[in-house]
Amino acid sequence: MWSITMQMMKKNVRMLIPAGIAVLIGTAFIAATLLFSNALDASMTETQTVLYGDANYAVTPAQNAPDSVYENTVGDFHIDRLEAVDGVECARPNVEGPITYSSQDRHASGVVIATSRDAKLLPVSIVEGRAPKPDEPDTFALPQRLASQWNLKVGGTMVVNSSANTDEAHPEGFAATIVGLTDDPHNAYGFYGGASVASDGLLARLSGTASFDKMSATQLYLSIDTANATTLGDAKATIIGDLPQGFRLLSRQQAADEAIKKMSSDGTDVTKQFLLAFGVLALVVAALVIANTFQVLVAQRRKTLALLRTIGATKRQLYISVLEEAAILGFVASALGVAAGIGLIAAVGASGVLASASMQIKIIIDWQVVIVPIVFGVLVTVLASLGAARSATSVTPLEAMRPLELTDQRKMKVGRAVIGLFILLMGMGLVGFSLWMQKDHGDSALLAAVGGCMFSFLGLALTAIFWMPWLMKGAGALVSLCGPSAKLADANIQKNPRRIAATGTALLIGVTLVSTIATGAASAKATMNQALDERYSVDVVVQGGNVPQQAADKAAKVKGVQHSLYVPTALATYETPDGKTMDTLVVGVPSIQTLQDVMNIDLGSVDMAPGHALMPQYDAYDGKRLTFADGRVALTEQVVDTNAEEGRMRDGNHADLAVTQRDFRRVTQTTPVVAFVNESKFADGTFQDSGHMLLLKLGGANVPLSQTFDDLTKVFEAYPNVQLGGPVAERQQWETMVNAMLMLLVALLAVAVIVAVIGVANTLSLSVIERTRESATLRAIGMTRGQLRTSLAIEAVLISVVSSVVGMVVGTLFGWLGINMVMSSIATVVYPVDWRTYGIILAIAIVCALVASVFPSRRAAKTPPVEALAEA
Amino acid sequence: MTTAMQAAPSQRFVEHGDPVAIQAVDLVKDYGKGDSTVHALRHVNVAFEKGRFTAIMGPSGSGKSTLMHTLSGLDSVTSGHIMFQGVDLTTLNDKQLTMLRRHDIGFIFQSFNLLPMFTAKQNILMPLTLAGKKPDVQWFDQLVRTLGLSDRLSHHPNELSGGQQQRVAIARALITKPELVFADEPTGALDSASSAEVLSFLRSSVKELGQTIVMVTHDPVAASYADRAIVFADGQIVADVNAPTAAQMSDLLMQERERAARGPVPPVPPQA
Repeated sequence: MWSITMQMMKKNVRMLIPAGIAVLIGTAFIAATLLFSNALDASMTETQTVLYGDANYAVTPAQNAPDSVYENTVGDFHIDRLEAVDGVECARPNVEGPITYSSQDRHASGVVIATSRDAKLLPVSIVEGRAPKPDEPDTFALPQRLASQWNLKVGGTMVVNSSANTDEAHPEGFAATIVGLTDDPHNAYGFYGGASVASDGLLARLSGTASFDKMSATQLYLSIDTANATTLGDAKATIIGDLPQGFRLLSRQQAADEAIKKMSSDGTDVTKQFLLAFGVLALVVAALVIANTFQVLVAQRRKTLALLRTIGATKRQLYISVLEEAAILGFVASALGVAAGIGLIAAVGASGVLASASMQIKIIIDWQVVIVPIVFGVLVTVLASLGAARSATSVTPLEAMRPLELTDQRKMKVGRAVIGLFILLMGMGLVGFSLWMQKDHGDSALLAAVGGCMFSFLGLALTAIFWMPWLMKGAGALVSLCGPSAKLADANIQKNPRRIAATGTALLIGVTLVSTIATGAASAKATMNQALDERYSVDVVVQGGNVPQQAADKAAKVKGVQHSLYVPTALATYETPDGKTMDTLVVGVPSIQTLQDVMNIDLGSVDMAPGHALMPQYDAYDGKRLTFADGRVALTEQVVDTNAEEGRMRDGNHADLAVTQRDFRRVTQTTPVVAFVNESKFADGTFQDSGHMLLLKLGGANVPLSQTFDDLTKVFEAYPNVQLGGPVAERQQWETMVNAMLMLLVALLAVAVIVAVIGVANTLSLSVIERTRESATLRAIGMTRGQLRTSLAIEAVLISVVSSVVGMVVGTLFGWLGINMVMSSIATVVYPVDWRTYGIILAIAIVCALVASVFPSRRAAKTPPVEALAEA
Repeated sequence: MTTAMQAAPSQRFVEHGDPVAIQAVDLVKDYGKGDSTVHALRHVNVAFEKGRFTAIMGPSGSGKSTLMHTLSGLDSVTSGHIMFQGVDLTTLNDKQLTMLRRHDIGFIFQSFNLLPMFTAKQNILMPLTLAGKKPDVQWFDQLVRTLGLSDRLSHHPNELSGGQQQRVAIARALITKPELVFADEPTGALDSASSAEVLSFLRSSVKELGQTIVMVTHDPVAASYADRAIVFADGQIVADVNAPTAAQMSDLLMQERERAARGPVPPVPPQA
């Protein structure tokens, strides 16, 4: 039987190609995901041990170590004793502290780390000069980038300081000698833009500790000579004997393995599973393609199968024969898929697209990368062929004697309709239920909604065979008015509802998911934009100290700044109706219009006359609603008490103002409340300006936000106390994040859509093979090649447009439901209809359909009309 | 044996002086190359008159089907010419041949070849649909009446008997009032009663509707319905009979088979 299977398979190998490609894509995706996750692990191992420098051993706290280990100091390690051990080359404690650099009125901050007797233990590399020696007085090596920006040279001196400095003799910092420049090739201190390396004494003083030995340290990196096993063993024993309590000695590899284990339990595995889900989805869509292929294969072979039955093949043999064929196809396609996945990741690694994310792609092939996709691929293929295998067993020996009739005459199963309808109704019920209980039980409502969507979709897919041909009939009736080719296409679609439904369902899955995501995205963005306008009411706020007028003028001229408002501020307090004292920043503005210009939300009509104040609706600190008795507020100015201790405040003037409230936020973070008043209140001396702030609105100019922000940072570089607050940056981050996430999702789902398009091509080519005789007849009675090609193109477009439109409608509803569930508690939900995305999806569907019809129609057009005359 | 049998098989021309519908001149068709070359047609010269019903007979592999395929422009020729409506078919491209088939040549197939997804009426009108033309209602009604299909027009092919299907196919072939209709074993898949019915219709469409039909068959009874029968053997015409009878044709065929069995085994042309 095996050889017969192989012979039959060989004969139809062309028909198996699309199904094979579908499996290949799915398995390639899974293999690539596994490889990617391996690479991620490797890259994380590297990150984990990047602080080691070239050290091969580390002393770290044991798991379950007593809390006392966190009080351990550098001195407790007795580094000089450890370094004296035979075989130990050198040691470096993992100690770091804050540092601020100052040179010619410029300031920058960063991180400074401990040095070592041997520079090879440093996690950063010395690119010029040398590393500071541990016992030198006040020498350090600073990041090369900073040195070149500020034009500093090795051998020069520079004042360094830090916020932790407690040295009363040197509050302004320490003059230190630059002995070298560092670079950070492994991105160990990427967050800080590199690290400085300082001699022990300097590091201790910058950290505000009495001496280096008193600095706290929980990790020590060692370089031990591993050439001689005996000395290594002895050295390790000596070190372990000399360790403070609760510490242990680990090799670099041990430490890395442990870190990965910890990491994957709380992070990377989620990513991996998330990505794998898309691979599985692609395979599910592939399963529909495979099922179609095998149904046609069996239908075509009915005569052969019947003949085999006549001469003694059992039903079981035929059944197994089909499954064998599916298993072979699944295996070959999956193996190729694994190879493709490896190639893909290798190409991604070589192209260096992930270099910006400071990630190196290493190809690490373990058994899972090879076995898991193949097992999945074979399993899906075999499962998908079960239906066809069953219909192979229903071939009666008698059929060998009858003429071949290929049309699908099987009755639609009532059971399927009932079950499908039941699941559909259950899903819709769940959705309704989730909407009903959304108010009180948010989490379970979300679960119900997700379940409802899944059931509804499953129901739709199961009943597709009933409603999809019906829809296609409607659409087909319309287009069949367009001419003979369209008429033929319509008739052909009607001829085989089962297969068309399966093809359409494959496409439906992809399009539904894409449009669910797209709608969710559009909805989330619209909802978020509204929330962001409220939350980030001002794009940029410059505050702190006294922002000087000249800097404000300069900032207003920066490219990308649309409006600016430079205003006086004062501090005040008021008493809430329930007796609490609220700190308030009083801001004097010239008019409501000038304020509106720099605000993102619509303030509406607000009276800004001298007796009025504009205040927020919510307390910026605890988010509680602010209330005012009779709509008035009694502000008491707080001024610096020059007679008392420094920083003490005393009451100043009073002002009783009528309050208008609007929902603006994030104007300042220094006080919970802001009160905008008419600037005449400052002019007449009611409030004395204790400072100035600058409010900016960005936009207008065609420059990237980041550049505008950089330019602004430069303007205020000279004023160390001024803080440049950029809610706009945060807002931008939100938007970028949402967009990036959605792009990624859509890209991943595209895999499923590609498989579905292959399904359309597959169905068409199968139909073309089946219809060879019909095509030939049509050619014989006067159909041109062009007409035949057009007909197939129309057929493909009909299938794909109808399924896509249904997918988009269903996906939009799902998307709305999802966004309603997630966002309605946070913000007012907006239900946008993303016509542009729909247009794009539809255009892609049509183009894909046309592409899918190219090969089948070429084959159909090549059919010589003589074949119509050939005997059956 | 008979007077109708003529000496020079390669010299068949029109005898009655009727206008010629189609004419083959020195037609050669070879399959394959070198030693394995099969000569399906060996310098065939033949003409078919308008308004007549001609049968082409011959044993399996004699080349009769190849002759029909090449005459109808469905298959290419190795050499020679086919004159139809003053044009040499061998010089036309696919598009021109398609237009010819659409407007001027009709086909009737052994296995009917109706399109299963269309009704009988839609099948009959298909050539006009493809051309984007309106049917001639009078002609359609006449055809349907003559072929006895009036109450079967809304049926799909699988709801019709074999004889009915073939009658629909005949109507489809005649709907464009073609210059010439080719029928390839039109009764091959039918029982004798249905065969008789179909053959009568073919003859009446020649006599009453003035059509020209060339029919390939290996059935002497079918050939007896024709006005003229040509016997084919080994890629050449071996007999040309006017007003053939079934017995006469049967004898002729037997002779050919015996000769083939006696003589050196001729190269067997492949079955089309």
